[in-house]
Amino acid sequence: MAFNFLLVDDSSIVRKSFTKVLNMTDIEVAELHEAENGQVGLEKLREEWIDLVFLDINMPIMNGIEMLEAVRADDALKQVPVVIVSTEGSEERIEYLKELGIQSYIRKPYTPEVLAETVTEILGGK
Amino acid sequence: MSEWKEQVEETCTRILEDWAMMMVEPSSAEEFSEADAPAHMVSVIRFTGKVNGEYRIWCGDEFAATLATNLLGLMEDASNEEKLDSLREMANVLCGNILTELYGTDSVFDLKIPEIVTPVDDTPEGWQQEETIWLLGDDAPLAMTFVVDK
Repeated sequence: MAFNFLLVDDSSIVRKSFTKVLNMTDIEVAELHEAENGQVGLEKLREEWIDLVFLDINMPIMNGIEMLEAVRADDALKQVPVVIVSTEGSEERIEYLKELGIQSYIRKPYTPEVLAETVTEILGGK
Repeated sequence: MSEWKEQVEETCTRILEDWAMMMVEPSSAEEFSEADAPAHMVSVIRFTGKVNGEYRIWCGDEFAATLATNLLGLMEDASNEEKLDSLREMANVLCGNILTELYGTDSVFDLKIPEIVTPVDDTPEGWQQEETIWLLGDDAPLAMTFVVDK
């Protein structure tokens, strides 16, 4: 089964290298949508069917935590699975993200194996 | 070398080797000068939280080109925008990991958006030498400082 993903990260390098890493896994990708900040990410979520969101935290305009709060407050979007992909190392903040219902957390830098395991764990049973 | 400096160097070396697939070796100010890294650039990221401060990376075009090429798996030369964006992301990734190594997972930090200063008058020669770490990444010079506000 092929999945639709949304990657929200302000770095074009991250967005391009994420595509490369995703292609190194066995995950079937129907479409990989991209957004450069949380605001654009929210718009994409409202326009497209997304199976899983990969979300950075440190971004201009609307950061990842603000976007996640907006997603969880929106009845139409609140069930969308979200994986945080960030350099964040604070247990307190990760705990808060878990309270907001993230499915997983991937610390940058990451390997294709970690990405594949995470996606399989979340979407594997679908 | 002080303990914090050793930790910063160790973290940067490990991440650049694993993530950017570079051979990283320790170096020193005496081993190269600004002339070895034409078109140099500086990537700066500020952080606030348990302590406030700044992490600063200085490199030349050669290092930036290798970094972008390796991160993107390019067969052709990286564009200037790809080089600059790679350096911004490198500052973000290294700074986030350094903060956790130095202050632990029970400390909360906010990282600001990384910026590139180029062209620059800001060179490692003008930095606090005892706080500067010198490295070679795939034989290209690289210097960095991690400075906490007084």
